[in-house]
Amino acid sequence: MGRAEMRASKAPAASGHDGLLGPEAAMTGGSELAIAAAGLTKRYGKTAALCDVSLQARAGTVTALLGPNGAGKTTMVRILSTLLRPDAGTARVGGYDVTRDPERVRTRIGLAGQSLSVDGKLSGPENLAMFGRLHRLAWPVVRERSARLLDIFDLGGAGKKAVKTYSGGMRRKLDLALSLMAEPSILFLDEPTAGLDPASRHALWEIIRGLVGRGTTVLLTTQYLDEADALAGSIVFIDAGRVVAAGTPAELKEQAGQAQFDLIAATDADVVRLTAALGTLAVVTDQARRGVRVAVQGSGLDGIRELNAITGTAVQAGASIERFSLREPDLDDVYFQLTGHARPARAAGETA
Amino acid sequence: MTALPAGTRRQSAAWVASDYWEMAKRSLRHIRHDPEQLANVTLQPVLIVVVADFLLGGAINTGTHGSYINFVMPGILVVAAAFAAVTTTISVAADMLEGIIDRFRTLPMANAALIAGHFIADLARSLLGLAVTIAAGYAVGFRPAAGIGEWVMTVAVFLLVTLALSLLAALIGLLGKSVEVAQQLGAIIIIPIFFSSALVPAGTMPSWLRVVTANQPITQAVDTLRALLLNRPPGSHLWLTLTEFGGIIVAAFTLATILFKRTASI
Repeated sequence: MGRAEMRASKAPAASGHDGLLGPEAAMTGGSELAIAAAGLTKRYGKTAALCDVSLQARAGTVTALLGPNGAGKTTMVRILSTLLRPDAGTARVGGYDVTRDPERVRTRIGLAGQSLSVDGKLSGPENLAMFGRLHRLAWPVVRERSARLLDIFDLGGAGKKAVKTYSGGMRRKLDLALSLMAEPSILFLDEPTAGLDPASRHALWEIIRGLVGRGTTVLLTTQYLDEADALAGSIVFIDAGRVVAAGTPAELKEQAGQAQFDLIAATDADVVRLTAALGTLAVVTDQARRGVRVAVQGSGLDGIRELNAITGTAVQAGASIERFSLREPDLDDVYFQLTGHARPARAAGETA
Repeated sequence: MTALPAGTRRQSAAWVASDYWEMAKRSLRHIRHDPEQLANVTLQPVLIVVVADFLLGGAINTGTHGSYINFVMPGILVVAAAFAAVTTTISVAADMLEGIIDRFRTLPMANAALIAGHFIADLARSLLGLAVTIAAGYAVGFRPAAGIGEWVMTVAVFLLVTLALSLLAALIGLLGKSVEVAQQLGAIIIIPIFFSSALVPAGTMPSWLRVVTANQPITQAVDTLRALLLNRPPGSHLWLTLTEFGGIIVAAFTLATILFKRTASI
């Protein structure tokens, strides 16, 4: 018992005496990778759920796996958490290969999210105690952590009520609490805040930030761009099972271009006038609503000069303008840009 | 229990036992939240006892066995064990189809404990069924001739039969594509009881059916229980019961573990 307890409690630091075997010792080095996946491929029949996906996450960071429904996010998480065997590629989690050494990987990971569940017929504390014991934790540790997690997640009030009577938000919180019982060094969160109200979402974000602050590595899947922006240090965009972009939120936003000057013209003739005057700088974003977008390439004072030129040109064109706005790019732009480019490719792939 | 990948050092016997205990506790707690589970093993066998005694008792001549209730009680006990097992089918199927199975699979626990939890709860349910059924039997005139030793053997054989049926039920639960389908399939377990010496003496059946009846394990179990309760030498029935049900247990457990592993991708 004592041994299990020691092992579990040291998990967040991911250092260890069983480093004799190598992999864990490697993790304590300078550029330690908590997750290293290369060329992961998974097919269901003729459909490729994942195609040659690589991903690296340094220890103590949050990586967001972002993409539309059916992009392969959950498949990726299931492979990395030893639930699914990839058809090709390799993945090391916590220094161990997920297919060759799943048992060791399991002692280091926690998993929570959409596809996961809690035991609805047990109470919250019963769930925590059961999963704590199944994680091979000694009773005193189980009791102490259960009490602490119930406190952190504000679930103590539910007492002995069966979990099936919980609200969606409470269930999510318990789900996350369960995955934290063994203080995993690597945490997989599959759409952790899907369907939650804003208050619960922000509360969960705070908890996730706290965990990362204490050294936990988090891989998070989400469809919410603001969630990735708020939590993740690096983002991997996947669509139709392929990585379409990866980088820090700032890098990705940069990829989406600089600020954008949006104009709504009064008539179709005005759209023609505007695009003729602005030339290649302008794109028609929305024919029906007569939207014209001009990307501002420069930043700072250069950007302002450029904007000045753009507005001057628009005025000289004599077009009648209904509305205008200037906005910084956000991850939404990246999302639509990337998925917009990727979607025709997927359709072509399906017919092939 | 099953072959674990090399490098697994945490599967010490004490922790495996703890896994089994936790999973058993879980299933037992489910009974508390879902007490209807107990109706299966209490109300139904009692109903059968009443029907057997008052409706069929006068009509069925059991030859040398004396009153019909004395003859049929061992059969009803096996029916009670089968009813207890049906619950296992449903709860195994529910586990497999709900997300919770993934959480169990990401734990460093012994996989077989998941199924073990269900059958341990099943043994508890069927013990309750045994007590209630025998009490009901007594109330309508069941008068066994068993001594302490025979009673102990009776309970042991009963638990052996329950365990075997429970594992078969778990197997069916693993195959079910939905809880409803599993529930329908689970009823299969009851069928062999009708084609045995449980409810009527095999001697009254057509000869081709007698061949089936006499050679199937349920008949051996019922005949063993009958001999024990009426304090007659069980003879070969006891050994056949032990070997046949022992075989079923080993085969069903192995198969269930393989099925479980196959549905689990790693």
